[in-house]
Amino acid sequence: MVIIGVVFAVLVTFLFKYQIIEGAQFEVESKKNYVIKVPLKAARGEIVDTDGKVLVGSRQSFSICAVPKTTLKNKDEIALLAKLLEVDEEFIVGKLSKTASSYRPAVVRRDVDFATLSVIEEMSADLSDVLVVAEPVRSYPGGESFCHLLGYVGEVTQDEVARNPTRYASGDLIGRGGVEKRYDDVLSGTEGYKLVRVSMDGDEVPIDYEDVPSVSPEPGKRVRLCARSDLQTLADSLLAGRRGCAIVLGVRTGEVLALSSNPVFDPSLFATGISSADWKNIIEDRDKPLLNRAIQCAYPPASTYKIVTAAVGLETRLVMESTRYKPCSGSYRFGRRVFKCWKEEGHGSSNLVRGITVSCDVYFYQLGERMDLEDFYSYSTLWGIPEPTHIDIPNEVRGLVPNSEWYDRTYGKGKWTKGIMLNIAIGQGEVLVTPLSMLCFICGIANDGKYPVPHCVKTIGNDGDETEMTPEFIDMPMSDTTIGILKKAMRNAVEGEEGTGKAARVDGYEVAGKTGTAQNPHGDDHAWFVCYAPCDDPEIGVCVMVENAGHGGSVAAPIAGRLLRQYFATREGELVAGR
Amino acid sequence: MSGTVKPLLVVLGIVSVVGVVTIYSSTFADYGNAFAVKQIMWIAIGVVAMVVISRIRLKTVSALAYLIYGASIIMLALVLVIGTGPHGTRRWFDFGLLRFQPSEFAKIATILALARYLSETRTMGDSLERVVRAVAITALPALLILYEPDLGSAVLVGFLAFPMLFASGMSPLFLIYLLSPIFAFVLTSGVAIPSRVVGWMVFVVYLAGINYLGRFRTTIVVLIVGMSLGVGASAHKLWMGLEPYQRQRVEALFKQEELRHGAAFHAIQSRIAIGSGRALGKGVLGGTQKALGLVPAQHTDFVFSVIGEETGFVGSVLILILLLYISLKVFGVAGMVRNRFFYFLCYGVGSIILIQIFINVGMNLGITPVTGLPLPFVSYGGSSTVVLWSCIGLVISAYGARREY
Repeated sequence: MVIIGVVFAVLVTFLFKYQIIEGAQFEVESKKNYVIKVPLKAARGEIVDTDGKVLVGSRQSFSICAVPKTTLKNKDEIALLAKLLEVDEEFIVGKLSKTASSYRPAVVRRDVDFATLSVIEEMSADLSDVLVVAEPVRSYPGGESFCHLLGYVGEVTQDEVARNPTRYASGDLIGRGGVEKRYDDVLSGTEGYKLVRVSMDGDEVPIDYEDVPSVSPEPGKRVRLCARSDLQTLADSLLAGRRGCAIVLGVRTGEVLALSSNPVFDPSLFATGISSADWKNIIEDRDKPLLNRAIQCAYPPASTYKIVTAAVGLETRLVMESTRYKPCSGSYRFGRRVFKCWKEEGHGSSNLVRGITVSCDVYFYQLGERMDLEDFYSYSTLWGIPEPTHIDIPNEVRGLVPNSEWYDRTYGKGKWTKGIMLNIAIGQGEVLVTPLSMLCFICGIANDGKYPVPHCVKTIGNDGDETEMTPEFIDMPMSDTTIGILKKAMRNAVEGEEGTGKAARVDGYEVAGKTGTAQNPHGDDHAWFVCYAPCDDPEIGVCVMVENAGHGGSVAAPIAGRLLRQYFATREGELVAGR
Repeated sequence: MSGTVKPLLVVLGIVSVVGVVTIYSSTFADYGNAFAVKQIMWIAIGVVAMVVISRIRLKTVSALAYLIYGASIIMLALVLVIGTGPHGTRRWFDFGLLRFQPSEFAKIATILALARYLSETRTMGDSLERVVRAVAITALPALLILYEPDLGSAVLVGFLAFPMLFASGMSPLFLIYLLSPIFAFVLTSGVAIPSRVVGWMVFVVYLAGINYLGRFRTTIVVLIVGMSLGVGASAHKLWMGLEPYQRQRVEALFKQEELRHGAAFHAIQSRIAIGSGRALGKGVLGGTQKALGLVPAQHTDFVFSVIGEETGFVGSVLILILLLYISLKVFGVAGMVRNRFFYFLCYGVGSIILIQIFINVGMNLGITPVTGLPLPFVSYGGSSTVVLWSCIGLVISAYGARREY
């Protein structure tokens, strides 16, 4: 009781002193005490390729900001500012009214040219609520190359500000896709501020910068990609004019050495907040350039999936390396339906390895006919094929490997037959995978059952303070025998006489791979090729997927071959230089 | 419901509404209603926690006291490893959408452990062993919190033993005597008194005086005098070992003019805000200091400056009365219960509310250091709000069982 009384007495005494006795004095102080917090924007960290070449940098720009609370009351000022910036008054009012009662300066116009800037500086007496704020913005020395890896920046939404008010302020530019989004917290740096004193009605009082604390911004950290510019630009040029993607992945490291998706977009359009006209163009483009086809599109994998079907057959002891079924005569009759092989004249009799090498559909129809749908589903899932690969860029989609529950749900109980198993065994029908996920699975086999988790970023931090990202692997439960048979078959598919992927051969190195030609009802076939090399000690895996382009062996395999040759050519160069 | 619980809940309700309105007032310009809505959510969670906890038998709580305390210690240790926080501190577990601050939980856990210990060792009287153990119970979490670092919560938890020992009937002079090493630190480190020689002189006079008045047992005198001299000798070094910003916050108390625009800036701006509210205030949502971002953390630590600015002397005194009424009622329950564990528990909860009110309002007025302790039931903050309402749940449970032994 006594203590509470004492606490009360002490606090009330001080309240009385400050509010009643000295209140008038404090009121005066508070009136001359209008200080605006002007943000000092931090430069976003650079993004460089594996050799340190700058792909995304920063340049200084100047933004025109205004204090919403005071500017909105001042019609003349808005009119003048509108005239100088050559915009409508409504445009300015619109920008300011999002945070109408705030004294925190809001961006009216970004990246203003020097001519306009100097006029505004000159007229500053009439624009007392307008501030010029220096703001570093993104520049793209690397151009459009790498755009899907890098992503882009965009203005933070009101919703995001509300959800994370301590981190974002209205008008901030934040990472919106790719590495920019995933690593936004390291790239964005920390905003600083300085306090500028103005009087209550907005007139500036002589500013004494010394007497108020300011905090310097801390620039974001540098992010180094695993990607190599030579491979990336080569992949870009090989895909030019097509829709598709090419990925080069380190088998032993999970490093994404190149990831090209075509068509590309120009990330510099986003650097200062994209204009609605540009945005409309990009969004309405029927080729959907923003889509990263390596991770955001799931395609029918076609014959590349025969590797998976064979693996399931081997693991469930349904098939052995030497197993032969009825010879292929160009088609296979199942019930009343006839399933065609891609080769009209047929492949004759094959064992499993030859079935993969020549990509005989009839062999796999017969394997599929014997296979349990649930085994097909559960092993595919166990090996992570329909799952996201957990690559370190956002918005990765899942693939689809159906099970009987899925068919029941989609077509109704009893409304589907065992026939579907024949189709999905050759990667047609309902099966869908992303190119990256297919590649990771193949690399997992190349890596003797260790599935590499792909990552785009090699190190974070500036010179001398770089943190390296550690490679991660997921165990792929698969027997050594199975892996050995699959490796042999994939090697034959490229190096063998009858192989469908001969176009991916590289002088001096043995390549293992699998072609795929995916029929689709909307147009020409999608061409697939996945591979790794060298066979005996795999270093890199490559996946090429080109939409509506024709045969995997004749379209996708040559592209993969060019990428492999580029990789091994520079590797030999390094070896020679090393000696 | 009864004559004690009902008014307590009514006052808590009013104070919470004042809190939400003030939080809205200090954040709406930049953030809309995001903070106010979140705070309402925290209060709702807190009220649910209170209702649930008030139905738990306190005997059960007593049995679990050490377990809860242990869990809290583990969390405090864990947060040092995987925690996050501003400026490289490690104060929170970040679960994405929400954050949990284990130091808030430690406040109630420490009260429970102390209450259990003191209620079971009543026969030991004011033996030194009992005092040392009680202090140890608070020192362990306090040191862990200090390491985060969060000076305010560390000091609060660290000092919990003293009001609790006082509640167990220990003489206040003796308790003050126990604090001698801390006085030694304050006086001789050069913090409060620039001249360390003068500081030493003051301290020696104090030490002689209190020894004369108290006539303490020889073992205790040897121990305390020894510790005090030891602390005094190393005080300067210890002080310099603190983080610069921690030093500045304490120094800001004593050197306000010098540090006008450094560490004292916030405290001075807060005082200008409160003072300019004058008798009746600038009206709710009408504060001007706050909109400019002059006073930091206005929805959390400096929420009282907004109340002072917008509702003036009248409003400030009213909210102060309401807040103190809450602690008064809690102490009232402590006086009613027969079970010793319940008694210490209520006393601890009352103390923690009272101390936080004093330190927080004092900090807004610039008379206590800027320590980052929230204003109970008013400041924005999830962990703090939920823990405080849970404490009220414990008190209601104790009240319900007040006739039990």
